[in-house]
Amino acid sequence: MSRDLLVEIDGLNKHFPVRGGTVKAVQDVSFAIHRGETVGLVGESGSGKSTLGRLLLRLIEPTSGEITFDGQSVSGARARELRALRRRMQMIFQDPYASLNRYFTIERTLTEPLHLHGIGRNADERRRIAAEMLEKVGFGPEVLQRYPASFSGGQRQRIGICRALMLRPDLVVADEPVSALDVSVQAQVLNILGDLRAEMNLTMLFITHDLAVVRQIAHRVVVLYLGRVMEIGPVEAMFDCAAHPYTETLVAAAPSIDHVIRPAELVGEIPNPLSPPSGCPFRTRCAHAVSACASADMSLREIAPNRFTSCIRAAAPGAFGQAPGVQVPA
Amino acid sequence: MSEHEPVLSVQDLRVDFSIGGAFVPALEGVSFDVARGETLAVVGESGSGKTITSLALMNLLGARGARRQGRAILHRASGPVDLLAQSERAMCDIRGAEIAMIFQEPMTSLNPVQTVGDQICEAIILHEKCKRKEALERAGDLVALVRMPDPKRQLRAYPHQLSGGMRQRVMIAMALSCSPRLLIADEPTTALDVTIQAQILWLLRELQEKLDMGMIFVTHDLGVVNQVASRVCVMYSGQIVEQGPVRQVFDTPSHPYTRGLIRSIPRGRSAARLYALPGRVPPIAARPRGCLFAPRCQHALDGLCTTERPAPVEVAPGHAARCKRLDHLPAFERAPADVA
Repeated sequence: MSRDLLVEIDGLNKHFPVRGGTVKAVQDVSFAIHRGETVGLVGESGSGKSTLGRLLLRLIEPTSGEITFDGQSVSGARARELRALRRRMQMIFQDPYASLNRYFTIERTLTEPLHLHGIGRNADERRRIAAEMLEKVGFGPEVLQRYPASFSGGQRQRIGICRALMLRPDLVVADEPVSALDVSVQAQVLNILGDLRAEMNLTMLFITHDLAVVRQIAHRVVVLYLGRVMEIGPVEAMFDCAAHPYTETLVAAAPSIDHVIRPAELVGEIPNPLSPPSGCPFRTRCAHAVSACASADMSLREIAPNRFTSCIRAAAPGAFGQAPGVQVPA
Repeated sequence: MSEHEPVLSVQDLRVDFSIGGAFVPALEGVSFDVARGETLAVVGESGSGKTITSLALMNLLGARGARRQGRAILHRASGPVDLLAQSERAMCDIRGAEIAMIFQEPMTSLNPVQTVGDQICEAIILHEKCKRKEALERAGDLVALVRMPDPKRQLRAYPHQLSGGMRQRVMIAMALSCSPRLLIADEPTTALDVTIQAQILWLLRELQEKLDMGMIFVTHDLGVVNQVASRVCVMYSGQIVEQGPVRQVFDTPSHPYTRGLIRSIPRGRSAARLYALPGRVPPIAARPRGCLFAPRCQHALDGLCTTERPAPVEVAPGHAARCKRLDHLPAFERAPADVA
């Protein structure tokens, strides 16, 4: 095992029993995150991206599979070990209004994790640590005595980031941290995250549905669809040339001020997660689908250096339909 | 051709809200035209006044002490009427029939205990005084028009049985039920996934052309504007700060706010820092005198920009910006991150 890997996820599954069946929210997901790396987790609603983020911190229990953090098993950790691990992995949430306790001063919100983990000798010292961290997200110490209500959405999100970093974690799972923000505020928050990542040598799992944001912040991207990994690859290579038709569709459908979407690029609805299509779950919307896709094995193949895809028809990034060894009926 | 025949002409619309006993302006000097077969996008961040604009036109601001001034001339087949001067009763005949509206969250806009068919029929029966059977037939046509598969079955469905995209299609079908001259769409795709959003945007574009409607498309997303509209109004703090053809405004934005907004969109290679507008939108009760954007503007001059609101200045035919320093601004450059 490489020492360079901070997180390893192996064969992870999460099934939710619901009325009328089982939703397989995460299915056989495996990937690793290197130290200091930011991995973008991209997908539409129902893709399992938030579930995966929560599984990683063991906020919910996996159905099966293994998660390793810095060589230690997260999935097998007992309560005591888990507590020690949690100090090193933190989360930033999407909604800056719901994720801060409105009855707590900023000081209390920020020093609570220090209390819980026994950091700082007394209140003064903890306050000093909080003020130091606040400075990193652009606030003076005077905000310590204020309540969340007196801050805008962007400011609250900076406080949420500050809270996540109070324990100087190695890993941060950021679940749609800028999706609720206006574009100009989003830019401020993304810049702060980028700066702090470099300064504190953070490893990040950045969950988002927004491809422009992922392109801005991530080094590598994992594309999920209905609980399955469709593609894994370096961010720029993926944007230049997708290795899965679903990625191609996502890139084409993103509204941009630089191009107009063509209607041919979008078909169909996202299938019901209770009864997803067999084989490749994207085949019902895929322009390149053939009958073999209905029984396709969804394991990832490396079709170019560091480019992994589950598409059986991908011969090379951007080239679909000529995969060797696949029988295409006439 | 009806290309330039205006459907709606808004002149100097002003809305004041009563806050703590005093009237505070929420919208000032809002003027624009929408022609038949044209989509005008109204784009702005939270608090810019984009939604207040659409609600003011429909007289849906509610009884919270809102005062409206100015004119909003709707050109009906029977002649022009000023929307701001209509009684509530008269507005009831206009809303739904002449101007229809669709909203962001289709689930909260639909009645959960009524079938889709019944909900579409309601407006038809109300405005066109026809029988239920006839209305149901119309509803079937409308559901097919918005490209919902298996229209007959869809009419019997309840909203919770439909996906977000299908619910928004139902909303669009309802909005189109009385062939309105003007459709106001307020963030209709914001709650949808990106592939579904693209489908709905395409559908709206297609329908608007086919039915020769005017459309006002309210959104916070400049990328979405580019997909649906031919002209755009950029709003900031209750004013339209820049207005013009979409391509022109995006390629050569004039107002410093528009420029900042465009530059803060992430679209380059990673690692580069994004441009971030300094400061924040002033709260409604603490708006500055002079140019609303001056406190955040690097080009603002004390005195010139801080005494009165700038009037719109035309920079090209049909393209205007409210800025007194247009002649002194450098040529617009996109963020360096964008240069590949």
